[in-house]
Amino acid sequence: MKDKAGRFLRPADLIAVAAILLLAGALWLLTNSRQGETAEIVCDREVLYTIRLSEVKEPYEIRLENGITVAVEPGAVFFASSDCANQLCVRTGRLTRVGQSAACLPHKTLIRVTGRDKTAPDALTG
Amino acid sequence: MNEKHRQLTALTVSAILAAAALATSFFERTLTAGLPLPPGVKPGLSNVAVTFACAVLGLPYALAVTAIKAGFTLLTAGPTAALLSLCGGLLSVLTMYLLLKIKTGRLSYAGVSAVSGAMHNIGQLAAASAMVGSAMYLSWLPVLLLSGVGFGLLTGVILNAVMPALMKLKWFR
Repeated sequence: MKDKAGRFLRPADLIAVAAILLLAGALWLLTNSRQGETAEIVCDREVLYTIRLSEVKEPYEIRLENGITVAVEPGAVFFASSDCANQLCVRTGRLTRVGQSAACLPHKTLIRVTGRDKTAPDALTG
Repeated sequence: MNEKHRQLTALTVSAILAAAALATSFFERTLTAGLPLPPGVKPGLSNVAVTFACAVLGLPYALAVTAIKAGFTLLTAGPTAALLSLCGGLLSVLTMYLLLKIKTGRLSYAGVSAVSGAMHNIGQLAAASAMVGSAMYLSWLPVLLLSGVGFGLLTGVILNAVMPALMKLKWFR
């Protein structure tokens, strides 16, 4: 115990922190780099809606039976309102990029943004 | 100090720690209530008590404190939040235990707490993903890792500061 006194941080602490930050950075680049193409609204593990975000011209709202309202905008989707207690889903904010998702856990409802078609390649080179 | 006395002391101290953890959680919630913190981002100051329990009393006591914390969340914030609290807490305590146990002697409480803070958020995310049946929030994980590490570091630095003083108490020897 004694060697811990009087010293707030050790080199190994900083290395551990740096490793996790590196991981976070890599994950960030991996998941938040591409503009989303498709949005899915999933309720109880069932995909209720699939929306092509690029084809959305006017903002509109989708009212779900469980008291949740999902807002759809050109290129973005988000929880507009929910009757749940914690409002975390609403606070997650707008989803625009591939891999982003938000959920209302009390209602088991999830919205997520994915790429074009999962089977189609992003690009082809000759 | 005989064995029975030691057990009694551990039991009493862990009860005090659990109470302190609950009080800290409550205080923290009041403090951050008005702040627009992103989902899942929390200081988690009560982990000072959990880490202390893990380091001084041992794994079972730390697990008990975690379970009591989750129980408190169940009462105040509902079953969803409680499950997240429990999953995050368990993963965090186990990580903490392993890191303290291997005693590389390299990591201080700040490092242990930072890593277990990140694991806490990973555990919560895993639980959330299981609940909706989709690997969700993967894009959100970087933000959570960042906050988990940052706040974990903060609570760890607090421990680094108070541990030497606490270890001087006759109780823990």
